[in-house]
Amino acid sequence: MRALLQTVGLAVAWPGQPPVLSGLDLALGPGERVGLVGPNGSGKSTLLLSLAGVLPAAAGAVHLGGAPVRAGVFNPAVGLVFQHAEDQLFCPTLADDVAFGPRNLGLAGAALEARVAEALTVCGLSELGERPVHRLSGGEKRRACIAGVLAMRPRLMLLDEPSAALDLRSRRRLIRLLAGLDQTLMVASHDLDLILELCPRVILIDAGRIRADGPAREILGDAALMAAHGQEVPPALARSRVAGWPRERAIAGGAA
Amino acid sequence: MAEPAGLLPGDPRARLAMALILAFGFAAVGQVGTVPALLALALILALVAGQPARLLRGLRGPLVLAAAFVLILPLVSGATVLWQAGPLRLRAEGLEAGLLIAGRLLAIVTVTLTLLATLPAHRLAAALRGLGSPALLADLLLLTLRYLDEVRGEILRARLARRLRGGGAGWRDLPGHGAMLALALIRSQRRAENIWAAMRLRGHAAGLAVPPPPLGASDRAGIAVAAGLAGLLLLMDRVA
Amino acid sequence: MHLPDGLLPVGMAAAGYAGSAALLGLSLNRIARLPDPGAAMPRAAMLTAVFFAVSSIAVPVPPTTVHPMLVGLMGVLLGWFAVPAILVGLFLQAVLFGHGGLTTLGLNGLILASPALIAWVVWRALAPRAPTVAAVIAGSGAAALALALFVTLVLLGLPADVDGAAERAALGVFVFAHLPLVLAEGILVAVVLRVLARVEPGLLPDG
Repeated sequence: MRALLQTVGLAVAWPGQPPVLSGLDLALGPGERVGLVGPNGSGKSTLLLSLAGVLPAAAGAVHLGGAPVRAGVFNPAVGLVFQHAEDQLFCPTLADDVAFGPRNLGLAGAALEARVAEALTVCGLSELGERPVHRLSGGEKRRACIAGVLAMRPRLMLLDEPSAALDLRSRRRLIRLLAGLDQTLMVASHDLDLILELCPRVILIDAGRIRADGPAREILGDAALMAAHGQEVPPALARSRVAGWPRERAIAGGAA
Repeated sequence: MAEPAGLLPGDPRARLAMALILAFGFAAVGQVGTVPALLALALILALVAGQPARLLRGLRGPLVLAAAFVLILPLVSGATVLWQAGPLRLRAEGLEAGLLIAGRLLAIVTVTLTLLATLPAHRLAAALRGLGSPALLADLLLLTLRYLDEVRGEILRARLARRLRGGGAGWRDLPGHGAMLALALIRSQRRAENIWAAMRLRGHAAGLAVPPPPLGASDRAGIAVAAGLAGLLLLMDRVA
Repeated sequence: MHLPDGLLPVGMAAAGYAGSAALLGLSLNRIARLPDPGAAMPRAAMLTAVFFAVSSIAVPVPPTTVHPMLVGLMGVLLGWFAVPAILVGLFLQAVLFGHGGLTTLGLNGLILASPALIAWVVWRALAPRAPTVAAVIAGSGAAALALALFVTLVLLGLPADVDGAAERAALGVFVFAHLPLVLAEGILVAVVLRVLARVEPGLLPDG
């Protein structure tokens, strides 16, 4: 399988500071859904920013579909959904915001409207196009961000903590929405249940390096590995493997 | 999105053009004899637009200011004494000047409130852009509007949080307010970096202001009527 | 503290628009020469939002309330962007709240934007040697200058034959009432710039 996204020896640093990430080799196939887990400050957001071409590589390179991703160059093939919805919804109304990207791709008139309507429909927001963005609920804002990125028809979507601060119903809607997308997804999250449900593959990073990369159930279920990087096995996995694990551990996981 | 605007044109460019034409026309009135016509015109406009309650709310401040001009200027300006009580002397020229200033003020504010304040604010940015103002100005207006309420809420919450933990209030705690302002600025700077990244990721060539459609017949008619009325008013003013 | 509509002769209002347009043209020209003008725009917008949010929050100063002007601080932090930022703020206030004036927008722009730019120049000249003094001068100086411009224009707009004694008395009251505001602006700017220098020096212009 030819990789859609590939990094070789990638290192990323914020200006004037030591690298946050270093020696990163990873490859994502087309249509793959990958979860990115790791403790706070491990470099998840930084990695996403660098893959999207916001932060330049201090060493190594990012390739998308065979072509290098150059920092600062507009690249509609990669969409990034920011951790804070407020930062991404900068236009007055929802429809304006969703139209922002396609308009910059040169779309206008009926084609632009169709593209906006399509993205809003996929995200279950078709009734809310004219609503000012600050009047949207938390869950609607999150889906609005996704609609704004989807409207550009990216090949790779990067999502930073998509389920943060969502209630159960909004979170469920978000999972259904993401599970229905054809795009290659990389989801950085502390919501391990969401990752387990959505992503067959997981990458664990800590202190700026990849510590594990493989099937989600294996990595998230490896108590020793998870504990070594400040994580806990999600309750769903702990319970299913109760035979092989001390009972207390499963309960501790469940209570956390 | 269409707001109850009565008979007024809906295009924000037409509204802005009409408001500017009428406001400058009103400001050019120089005879106190024209003031009734001026106020009548403003009143008709307000009736056409509907929403009198909203207009009255907006006029509270200007009404106080207008009253101040009418009450104070006769006491301090002019030579022809109309009425005298002790040291107080009401003078004709001052009264005239006061009435003229108050009339112009109220008429112009009425025009602004009926034509512009009834539009969603972000459409005014499109109007500015459509009337040829620089793209940067329209974009700055849109982004400022987008985040104004949020930033205000943040600052009010920070102030409340300070108070809840025993922080001083008002002018006695000026350094505290300064520190709070500085932190709000830092947070906003961080957020601006993220917004810029988000804008860049989705391209930003076209700017934020949506290009408006061509002006309709009622929009053109509105501008023509405004220009005609302003011209008529000034003619009356000069002839009288 | 804005010039209201209707007070001044229409010629002055038109001249105000012309003056503000010229100042805006100059600043947009300088902004276009910045290394990355696009990136500076969201920053200017966010700071503008903060300035207008803060200046809309009243600080109680018995027996009344005072709205900080922050003109000097806008100049120091925004540089050339202070001119479009101030015009945007005035436009919003005039149009949304009928506060200020539509015809006097140009004059009000000059009253606030020119002190902001002067504060920026003064601060840049003095800050390397005496940052606190520079900040106080920028803050208080800009506020005082804006008030002086305001008073001058009001006097030009009032009828020529206003009683001299009454005029002097009104002027005295006005200056006395605004003295605390002028002082407070200076202290506020000094505090803000000191906090920024300590925790986020990147936010300060030129370093």
